[in-house]
Amino acid sequence: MARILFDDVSKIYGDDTLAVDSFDLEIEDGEFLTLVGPSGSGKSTLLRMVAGLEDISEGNIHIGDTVVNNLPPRSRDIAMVFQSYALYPHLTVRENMAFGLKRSTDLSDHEINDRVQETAEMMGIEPHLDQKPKHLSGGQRQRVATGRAIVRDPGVFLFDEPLSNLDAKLRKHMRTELQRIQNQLDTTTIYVTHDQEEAMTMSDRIAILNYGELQQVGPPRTVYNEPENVFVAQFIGSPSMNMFVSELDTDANRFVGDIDVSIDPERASAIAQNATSDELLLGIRPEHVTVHLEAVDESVPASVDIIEPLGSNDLLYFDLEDGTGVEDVIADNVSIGEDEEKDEEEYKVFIQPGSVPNEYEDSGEFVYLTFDTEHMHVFDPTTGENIDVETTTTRTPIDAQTETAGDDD
Amino acid sequence: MATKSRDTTELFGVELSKQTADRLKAVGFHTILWGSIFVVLTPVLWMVVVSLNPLSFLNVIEDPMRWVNGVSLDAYERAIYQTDFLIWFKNSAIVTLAATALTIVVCTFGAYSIGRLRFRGRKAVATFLLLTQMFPLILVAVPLFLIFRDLGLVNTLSGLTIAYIAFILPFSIWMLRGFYENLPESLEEAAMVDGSTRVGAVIRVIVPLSAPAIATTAIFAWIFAWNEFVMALILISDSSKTTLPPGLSTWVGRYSLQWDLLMAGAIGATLPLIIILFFLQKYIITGLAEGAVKT
Repeated sequence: MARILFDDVSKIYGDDTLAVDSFDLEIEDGEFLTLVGPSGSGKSTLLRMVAGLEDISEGNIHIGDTVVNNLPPRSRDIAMVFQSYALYPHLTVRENMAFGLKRSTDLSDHEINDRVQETAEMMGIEPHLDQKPKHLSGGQRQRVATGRAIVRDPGVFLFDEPLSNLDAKLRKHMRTELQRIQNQLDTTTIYVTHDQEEAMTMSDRIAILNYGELQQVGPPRTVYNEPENVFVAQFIGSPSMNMFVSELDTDANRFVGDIDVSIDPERASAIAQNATSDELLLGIRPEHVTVHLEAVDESVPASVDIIEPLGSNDLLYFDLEDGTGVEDVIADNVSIGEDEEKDEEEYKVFIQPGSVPNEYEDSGEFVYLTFDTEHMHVFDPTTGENIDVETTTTRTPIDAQTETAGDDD
Repeated sequence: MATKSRDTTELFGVELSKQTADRLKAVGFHTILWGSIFVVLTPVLWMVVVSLNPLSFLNVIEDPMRWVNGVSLDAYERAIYQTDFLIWFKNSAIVTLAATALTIVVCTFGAYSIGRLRFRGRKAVATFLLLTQMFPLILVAVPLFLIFRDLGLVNTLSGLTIAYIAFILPFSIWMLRGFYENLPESLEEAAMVDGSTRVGAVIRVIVPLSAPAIATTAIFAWIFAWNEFVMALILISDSSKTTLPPGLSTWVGRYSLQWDLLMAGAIGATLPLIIILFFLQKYIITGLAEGAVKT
């Protein structure tokens, strides 16, 4: 059991490639923290620095009360599950699992065997103990890799995208299983993934990274409901958040632009105070938009692009009559995530199956949208920050605490 | 081909039925194959023939029975009991075993560090190693003799072993290096997280996995050391310290007409190699292919 503290940690490759930039974070004892971000965001580098497989360029990493910067991996009381599983191909499953125990403990062969047996039962790989890894399926290899980490009973588990080589169904199954094991063992865990869904479903807290910078840390619901910037808003949630460009008219307490919505005066003035630009980004998740077939009060007309049946819900893609591109207003140095860059102006809304007839697709006939302004986020396109007082004041205490985590050492 | 009917095909511009074409191809293939094997093995066969009865080629062809009637193991007996053959064989075995074993140890760690560790000058070291292979052995032999003379290593088996290792290492390091570069790094990282030191990870995980590549290197070292002539000739002057190749060469002058003795000695010198290659040939093939496709 151990807490982990990142104290102003940076990683510079070569002379000038900054992979991780002044990273501060405290991970509580027994916590399941997920590091999530797109490729090249520095999440794996951070994990490897904790493991001791990468040097730390600046700052300190503490595991428990020890600064581990100069400790070799074997002395850090950690176990790691690799993306490729990294099972020793020349050893049987049993020998693979016993490998760490033989090296790092004084246990007798008998005790080691007992522990391997026990863990194998827990992971459901007992029948395969005497097989070589090449005879196992992907899912079984994953279990062996996890079992090899668990059997050592380390202070910290490190997972480096452990499920990314599995098919979708197995991935979901293993996700639940890993969660169950972590709950049972209550071992501090850092889990790296680029899959925001994995991050949302498994973690106590999520840390979102982009270009080596920490964007936000918080429980899954907090980062989903209260994204601190436009990158987090876009990255977390699938399908991603709709982004509209509108100007705030403080006299009328209304947003005017891609979509026209009115908000209450206090919120309007707070936003106006924080904003550094006229045009603002309004972020609304697909579930907070309502589709009407007839025009209603405060509704915005939109044409239906396509309707995708997802099962319990349908996903309707729509276009606005003359929407301003997010790309046109957002500052160059503000990252909005790859999704948005690729399918720019792809607006989505969840609808009840069949509530909008399929004839609307590409017909030029309008549907009318209303927006739940309570769940609307307002971002400043020049800074990317969430400037909406509604979300910034309702932060949970744990969020505030983690922001200062780096200072209390 | 689309216009031709299904059961005819074209071979060297002649249209044939598919069956005939396949048969012709098989015949052609086997002719070339067995032809090559015959060409390669004829000297070996001739070695055996002459060692048993030293007749001239023409005599054997004209009257094979004369050869059969005169077959004897006399040459082998002489080689074993009347010459230093057994001593040379022993010396060759000692030098070859020692050079191979030491090469493997040094080369495994050397190749690993050049292939895997990131240190300044890594590329320079690798290139420099290759550079040493540019000089022919005979060019290195004379300066090597001078150095070895000063060090007191001339006319000793250990000196010869060191010289062989020095010559084998660069190439074998290059051979193994490619293999290590392609081994997934996560394996040794896993071993290091699991409580091993880096050296421990290499010994427990990397070495077992690179067994085929190491076997290939070992075979290479073995063949080189067993067959080497120039350095042995220059560095060793005592008949009791010399190895098989220079030893056998001394027979040429003194017993220049004793072809049967020479051939018997040559067979004795070749046998260990044939036996080793016979058992380890699969490693050469897997070893050479492994580095290329390992994920």
